Amino acid sequence: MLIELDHIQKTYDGRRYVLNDLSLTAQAGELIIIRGSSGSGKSTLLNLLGLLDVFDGGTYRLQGKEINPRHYNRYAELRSTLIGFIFQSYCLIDSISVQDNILLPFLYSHHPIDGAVLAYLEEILERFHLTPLRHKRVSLLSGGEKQRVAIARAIIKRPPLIIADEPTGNLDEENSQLVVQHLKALTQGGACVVLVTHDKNLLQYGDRTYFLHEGRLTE
Amino acid sequence: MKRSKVFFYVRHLLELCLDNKLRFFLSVIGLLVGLFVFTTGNILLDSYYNETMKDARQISPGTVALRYEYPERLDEAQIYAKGDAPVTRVIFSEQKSMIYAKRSQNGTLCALSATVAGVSGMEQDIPILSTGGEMLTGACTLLKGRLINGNDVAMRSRVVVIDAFTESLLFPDGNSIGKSITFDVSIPGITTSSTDPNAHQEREVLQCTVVGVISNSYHSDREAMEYQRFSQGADSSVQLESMVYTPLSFVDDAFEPSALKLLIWDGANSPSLKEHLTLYRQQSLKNFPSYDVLDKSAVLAQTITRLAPLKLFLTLMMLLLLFISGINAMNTMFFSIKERIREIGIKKALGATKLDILNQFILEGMMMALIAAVIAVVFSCLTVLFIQGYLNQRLFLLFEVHFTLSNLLLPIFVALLYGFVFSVIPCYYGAMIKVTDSLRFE
Repeated sequence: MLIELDHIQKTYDGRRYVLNDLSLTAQAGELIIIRGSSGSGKSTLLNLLGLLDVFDGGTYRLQGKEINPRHYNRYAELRSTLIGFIFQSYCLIDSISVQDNILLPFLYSHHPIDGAVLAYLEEILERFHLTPLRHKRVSLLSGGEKQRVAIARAIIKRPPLIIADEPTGNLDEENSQLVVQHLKALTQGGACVVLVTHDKNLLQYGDRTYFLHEGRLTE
Repeated sequence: MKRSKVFFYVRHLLELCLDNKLRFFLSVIGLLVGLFVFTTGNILLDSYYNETMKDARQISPGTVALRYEYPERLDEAQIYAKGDAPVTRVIFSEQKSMIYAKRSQNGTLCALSATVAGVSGMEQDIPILSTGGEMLTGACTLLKGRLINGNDVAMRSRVVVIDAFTESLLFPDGNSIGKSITFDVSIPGITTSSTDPNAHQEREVLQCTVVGVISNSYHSDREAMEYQRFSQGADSSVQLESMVYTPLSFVDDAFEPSALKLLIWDGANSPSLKEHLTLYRQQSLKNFPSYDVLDKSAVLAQTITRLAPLKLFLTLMMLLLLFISGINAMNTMFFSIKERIREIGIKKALGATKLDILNQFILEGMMMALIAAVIAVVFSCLTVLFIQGYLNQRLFLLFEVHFTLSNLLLPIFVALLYGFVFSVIPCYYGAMIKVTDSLRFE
């Protein structure tokens, strides 16, 4: 099992629990879709899964390793090797090129940028039709192009877990379909994708779909 | 094929630095002003310091000089016995003398104000004037002829040794050996030229023959500069001074000797001799404060002591200005961090630790400080050369500018240090920002 969330609790003010007794499991090759209304805690759940935030109760195991919320500062390397992020607002560095954005995760890991990485980079650029744009500054790209770059950056290190927070939120229908198809293709490559979305049209792609309400997940 | 992560990282930092041109400019200019003043001041101060020390450094290590003003109460025989090396006695004329020579080319006269130094023999060291007006001893180089020796003193010869600058004024054709110089005891005046041969006859008091020419001292070089300006017509008058060397006997015969005298030992066991003389002073000459024992280290120490307050004050002022620039740079770094909070969040989400974020921004700060330092060094060098050229033209030349490796590298080192120190606090603030908060930042 890749992800095991067991009775997770999260509060910001100590009174209202954003996540309350939440449990979730996921394994490699699955596309998990999580829906919920605004403010239901979807982004909070993704932040916990991605080791970007701490939880207040329960247990979290990632690839069998138990995560201690008191030691979140030590999980940067886990984030770097196990998790790829795709954000709604792309979260790219606008001032550098497409290629540099994709390779950026390597600056914060011990993994060298060797021949295998560069070959995979070429494959990704080709797959996402980014080859002609590789040296272009990200600030000059369209929304769809930026989201493809964000996906490319998330998968360059072949992480087992990919977390996508509203990846189609700023895209039109056509590009939205393309993005989710790419994500589905990643699960076929062995990755587990946890995707948060409002878009009902994307539900058909999920292996499992959950609805987040009052801090709990229901299938 | 491999891609260098170091190269990628450096290129990445440079791209981020240059992304916001205004931010980059403010960061660099903040430190540039302070570094420019620091570098320029450091070069000028160092050059002035070196020039002032130049005379002192010329003193031979084996030389000890005793300077005193009451010779009639000093038992010189006892003093002589302390040293184990030949001693040269030097006495100076009370007032400056006007010296004249007839130029062979056009028959005009040249008059020069000079101090006459009577020596018992010019071995290696002769007294020269420092810029501070103190009597020092320094090595001379014989260019032509011979030096004054003991025989001249014994025979009471009327001979004189002059320096190269004095020769150029008095004998422009360069043939001074064997020619006459006329001495006239008068109040120091203005260098003039007169075509009236009778004026020469009326002023003639004593004649001496030039037997030798020695190299210029630092003082003479400065006089030469002033004379060049005068001769170019930039000034209507100029006051020049020279020092000429005659046998002791000549000063005794012709002039009212000054109260200032020197005894110079050359080649002595300096520490031992200095000890003897100092002890002698403590024991028997408590009432004679002018009794001063000089050697190279004493003169260097006196010069350093004289210069130290100025150097300290100017250095503190430069560091203060640099500090203010650093505060400005820190402020700009805070602004930069605030602007890039989202970038910090992205990088942390990609696996960057707090240390990675800290390192990145500190390196950026140091990089911009380095850029500022290089620009500052270049501009400082140009400014110093301009100042030197300007002062040369105005003949207010104080010193020759020296560019040393330490002068050029010190600002680089200081800039890197400042870049680090004034980046740490803002960078720490940036590194401590929570990932989730920073990703939400617009």
